[in-house]
Amino acid sequence: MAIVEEIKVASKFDAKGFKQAESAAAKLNKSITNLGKAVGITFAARQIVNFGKSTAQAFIADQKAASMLSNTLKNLGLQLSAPSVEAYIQSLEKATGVVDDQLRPAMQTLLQVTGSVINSQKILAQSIEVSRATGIDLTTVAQDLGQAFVGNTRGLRKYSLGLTQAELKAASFADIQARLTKLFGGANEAYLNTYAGQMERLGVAAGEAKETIGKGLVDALITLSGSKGIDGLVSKMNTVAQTTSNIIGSISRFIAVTGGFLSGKSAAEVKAQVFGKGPAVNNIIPSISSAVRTDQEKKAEIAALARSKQLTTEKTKQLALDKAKASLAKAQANFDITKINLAAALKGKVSEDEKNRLMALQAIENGNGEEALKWIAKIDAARAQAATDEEARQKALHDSIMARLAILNTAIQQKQMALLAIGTGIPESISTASSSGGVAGYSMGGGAGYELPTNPYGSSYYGATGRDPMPVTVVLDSNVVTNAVRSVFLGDSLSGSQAAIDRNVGTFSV
Amino acid sequence: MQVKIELLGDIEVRKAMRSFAPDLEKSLRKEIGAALRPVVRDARGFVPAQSPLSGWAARSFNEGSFPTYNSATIKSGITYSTTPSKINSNGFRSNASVLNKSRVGAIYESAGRANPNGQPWVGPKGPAGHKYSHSRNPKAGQQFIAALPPLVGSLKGRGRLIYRAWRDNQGRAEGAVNKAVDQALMQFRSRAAKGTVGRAA
Repeated sequence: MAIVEEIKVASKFDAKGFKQAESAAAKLNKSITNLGKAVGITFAARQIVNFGKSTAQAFIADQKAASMLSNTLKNLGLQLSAPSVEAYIQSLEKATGVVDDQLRPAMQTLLQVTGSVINSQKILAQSIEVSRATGIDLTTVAQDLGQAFVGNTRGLRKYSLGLTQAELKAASFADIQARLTKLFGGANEAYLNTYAGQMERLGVAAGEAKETIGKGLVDALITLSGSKGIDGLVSKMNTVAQTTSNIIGSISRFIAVTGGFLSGKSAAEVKAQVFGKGPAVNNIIPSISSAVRTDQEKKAEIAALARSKQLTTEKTKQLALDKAKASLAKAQANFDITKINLAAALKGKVSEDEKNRLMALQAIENGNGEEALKWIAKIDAARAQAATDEEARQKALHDSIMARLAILNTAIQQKQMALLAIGTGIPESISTASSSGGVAGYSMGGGAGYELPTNPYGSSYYGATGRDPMPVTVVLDSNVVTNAVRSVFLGDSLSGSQAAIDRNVGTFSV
Repeated sequence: MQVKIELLGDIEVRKAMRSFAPDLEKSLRKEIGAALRPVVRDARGFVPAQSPLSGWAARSFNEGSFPTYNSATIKSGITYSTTPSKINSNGFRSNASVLNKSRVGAIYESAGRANPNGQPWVGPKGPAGHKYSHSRNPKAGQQFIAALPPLVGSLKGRGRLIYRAWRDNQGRAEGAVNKAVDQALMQFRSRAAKGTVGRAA
């Protein structure tokens, strides 16, 4: 935002807008005053003026709605049905307590959608029931039902018909109507029996009377002004004051209107009484024989029926298409890439475990949970078996190593004895002889098949005979010993490499 | 066929003047300019060459959206307008105006007018908004205002540049503008009465 510091210079009050507003207000005041004076003088009461204004407005609004409906009928080629439609709306208004201001737009909507007077009337009557039951305004209900008539059931969700969207889509309009009747039938009658409903009916009757009186007033003013229509009247509003004396003549008509209404006559009768000689709306319609009108309506009904049949056919086609689509989806399952891959994998070389896994996956893909669980159980069993086997293998390996170590130990002992023999002068050739003696200072391990060297001097030589043991000192070169041990290792049945030895003894060379 | 046109206000007359007596409109603008130019010159003279705070002075790097002090920018932003303004909510409109258009100029002009001790301090982590001081220094606003010259009051408001110049002008500019406008309108009306006005090409 721009920051601007500003000093206003030579500011002046600009009275243009005020003067315009003042002028407009003055003109309006003048017009109203003139009109008020004129009518006020005639009826000698401001309340009557206000009543007259409101009645005229009500009539104008009513005539506008009627004109729009009439135009719709004309555009649909049903202009000859306009009086009957109007009569139907009037009778419906009285019977249902719904004002014609609501009925006409709803009827217009339905006529536009259905193109049929009879269908529109039926749907309108049902719309009133639904509207009363649900509290949704009549025009919306009529629009939704009109759309449902042509197969678009989306708007029906809000009425909670207890049908799924698929059911709604598949249902015919007759089915929907039956459902609506079942759920909402009699709602309007029940409402009209309530106090609010009765008050509303009274209000409707009063509104109708107001419109009727308003028309009388407007016609009277038009007549008095010498104009041919409302435009002329408007242009002459400013001179109404000068024609006050002529307006007095309309008092009788006004009294007739109000008197007729108060005497209990219907709105139509009052209309007929008041506009018997005037240019009433109904009289504008040319008198055409009912046969022609019936013919027109028949044509419209035939067209609507054809349209309905077309819609039904389209719906059937759509259902067939949906079915075909479902079948196609089912067929496509055969070509499911995942399933194909699983089947291909099973045909290849796979281990038992892999096979179990693939079978389990295939069962899952096919939606067969129990089958999948069976294969998973097999996988678990195989896994447990594998663990047991591994344990056994480890044990066997351990035993093998221990046995080899024992052999090695024996060999070492043999070599040690041989060395000992060398150091003590005992000939090595005697080592194979049996002996019951022992070498002092040595704790010989009991190797398998090993026997101590035979004592060539008898048992007394080693102390068994009471002679003191002779201390023997063996001095060996460590390299000699190491090489000797090494040569033993290398001469064993191992692979002969140092690495193999290291593996067996659990060490490794550095 | 003669057509009577009723001109309701000065602005409408000035618009008509632009179309039917452009010379009058031009001379009116010239006279308004002559009346307001001293105010603008004086206001520009109140702009210090150097920043009143060293930290506000222009620097080589960009440091946020707060404009740095630049006397040339302030001076070039002080100007006048002879175009009538839009009508305000009270029904008034001005024939001319003196402006301080630059952001830095507006800050120098009005700092401390709404908050004499600076905006309420909330610190860097305080609630966002231009109505709070987010400086690390809680007294930054107060110190900033204290470093500036005092606000000068005039009949049009308080400020340091154009309002100070307006105060010093003692209403001469306003009188001259009013006189110029009235005279031009009178001349135009007299011309219109004589029927010597014509639509400009």
